[in-house]
Amino acid sequence: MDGATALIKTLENHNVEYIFGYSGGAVLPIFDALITSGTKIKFILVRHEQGAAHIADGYARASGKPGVVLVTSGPGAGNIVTGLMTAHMDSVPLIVITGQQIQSMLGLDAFQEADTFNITMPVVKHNYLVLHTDDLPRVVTEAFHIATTGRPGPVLIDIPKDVSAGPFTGSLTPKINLPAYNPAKPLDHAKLINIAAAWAKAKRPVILAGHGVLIAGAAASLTELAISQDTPVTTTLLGKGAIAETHPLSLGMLGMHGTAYANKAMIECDFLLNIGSRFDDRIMGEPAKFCPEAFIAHIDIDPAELNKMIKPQVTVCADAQAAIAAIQLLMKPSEHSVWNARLDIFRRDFPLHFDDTAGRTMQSVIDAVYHIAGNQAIVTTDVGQHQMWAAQFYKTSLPNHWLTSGGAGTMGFGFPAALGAQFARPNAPVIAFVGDGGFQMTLFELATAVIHKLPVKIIILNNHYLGMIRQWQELFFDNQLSGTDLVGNPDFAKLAEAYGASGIHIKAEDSLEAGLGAAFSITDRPVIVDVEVVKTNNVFPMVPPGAPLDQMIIEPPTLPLAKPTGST
Amino acid sequence: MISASYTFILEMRNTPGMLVRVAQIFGRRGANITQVHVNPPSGGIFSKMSITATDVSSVEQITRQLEKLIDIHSVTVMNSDPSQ
Repeated sequence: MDGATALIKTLENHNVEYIFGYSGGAVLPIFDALITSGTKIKFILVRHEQGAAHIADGYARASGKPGVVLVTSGPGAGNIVTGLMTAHMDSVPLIVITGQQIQSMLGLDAFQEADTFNITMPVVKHNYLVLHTDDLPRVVTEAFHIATTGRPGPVLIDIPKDVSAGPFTGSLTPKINLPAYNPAKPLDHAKLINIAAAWAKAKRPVILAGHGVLIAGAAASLTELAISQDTPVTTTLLGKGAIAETHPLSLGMLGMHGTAYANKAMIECDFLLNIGSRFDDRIMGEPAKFCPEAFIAHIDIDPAELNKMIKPQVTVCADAQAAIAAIQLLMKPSEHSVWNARLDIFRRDFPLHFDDTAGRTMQSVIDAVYHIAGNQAIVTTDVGQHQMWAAQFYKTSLPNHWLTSGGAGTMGFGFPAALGAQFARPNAPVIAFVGDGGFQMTLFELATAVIHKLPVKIIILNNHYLGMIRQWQELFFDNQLSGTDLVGNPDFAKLAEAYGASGIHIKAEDSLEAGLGAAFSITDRPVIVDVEVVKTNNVFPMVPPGAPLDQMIIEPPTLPLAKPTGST
Repeated sequence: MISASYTFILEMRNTPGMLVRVAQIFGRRGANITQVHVNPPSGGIFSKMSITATDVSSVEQITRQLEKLIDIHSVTVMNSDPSQ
């Protein structure tokens, strides 16, 4: 047996069903072993390595299992860096195998040799350069352990060609050797008692739920706890699905483009329990003025996130599910009818809304798709205005049904992530909301989608602009548009047909319902729905970057705004 | 003004690339490393690295990020400039 075969057998031992990747010289032994080992693992050949990373990421987010990537050395490894960063920022488990030049060529600028180990170090949870063939099963086993425990993340394994081609004489069931890695921390009950006591005294409590709740599989427990305490829940962008957004206690998303009522709840609350969110700059505005009246408690599995952005009264390093279960046992049922009635007034007075009188808006398209596909669909987005409107108007009710690049904000993520979700959940409807900008960054994966007959619905919300940056230029840079006008877009419907997908172009005068109806009747191939929307619409509410939440702009401003000095 | 100097004592497995992992945590946050010393394990499995830096904007952040590294067992910090 060679090292490559031992590698494939170890992946089988970890129940890998798919490898997403691209072949190349330095991975030839591994691609050979995909055939000679007789493995049942299915290899999915993508069209660009970045696509493989995002497809594996979407697969991981939709399935809860690590996504596996296999690419070659040099440019192959270079092309996955954005995908690694995207997964790392959003705590997504990936196992990424890169080929490498033979060991005697390392550091000699040999053909397709790059220092993948050092290039990728800051964008992975951990990485390896494997120098002994017999180490491969142990390294892969450690990689799965690291990727899926504690705060999940991508782990990269760089394998020189002579290591994968070399004879294997080791064990296929090795012991892991990670003496310094102990992600499981005992629960600090004294701190949880402090949290329960503060919550029991609170008159205006709020739960802030982040991605950590979903990763821990704690959405149901969180909802039960919120109901028993009659406490409203707001979520981060990545926390959508921690509680059904149709539930009366849901405040929707908070932050820069969150709901006005969620942000007003932050301003007025006297107790905030943050579970599994890292107080990102997009939700806090100005940290010093965040939740000014609240006792703040923060529960996160990553100790480095505690006391990082703000100094809460209590911090607990814990898995969300374990912490929620423990707090539930400490609390008697409670009710907060006065507080919830006040929030209902905010919901009534400051609802999310849109107006199509001046032309079709992205919001109305998202709302129409929601009314067709509902809460059973897995929704992915790209990055920009459409992402924020989708977060606002596509109500997420189930965990792992909302996949978006939050931390990294990676344009080009949404479409390939939808393919990964469809591989993970072949019978689920999968919808990718993308802009005309971001879609063109990774549209080459149309070939992958067509080959595998993935019936994803690609909804292009086409305003012929890089809309979010255009919005900032309009609001903060005297409407001087620079580098945001996307002239020369292709005919996306024809492009779809060129790849063997279906294409539907919905122009301003065309019926949206008819076009979407036709798209959702197609089940054997991907379909692009290119929807022309008004060119210059802006996302509100909006908290200017770095401003406190009480400076939220709810309606379009009539006066010029100062240039923001906060987060980009 | 002379920036305060801090020394971080790391108990760690000295795996290949370890110095780069540690240095990246300082460099990304604008800290400047002034001294590094590594001692091989004496008896146990962990090497000891002593790393001194100035321009450390948050000692707690750097400590927590060092502790997150898979091969770091413990981190102890000393303020090595008594005048600060």
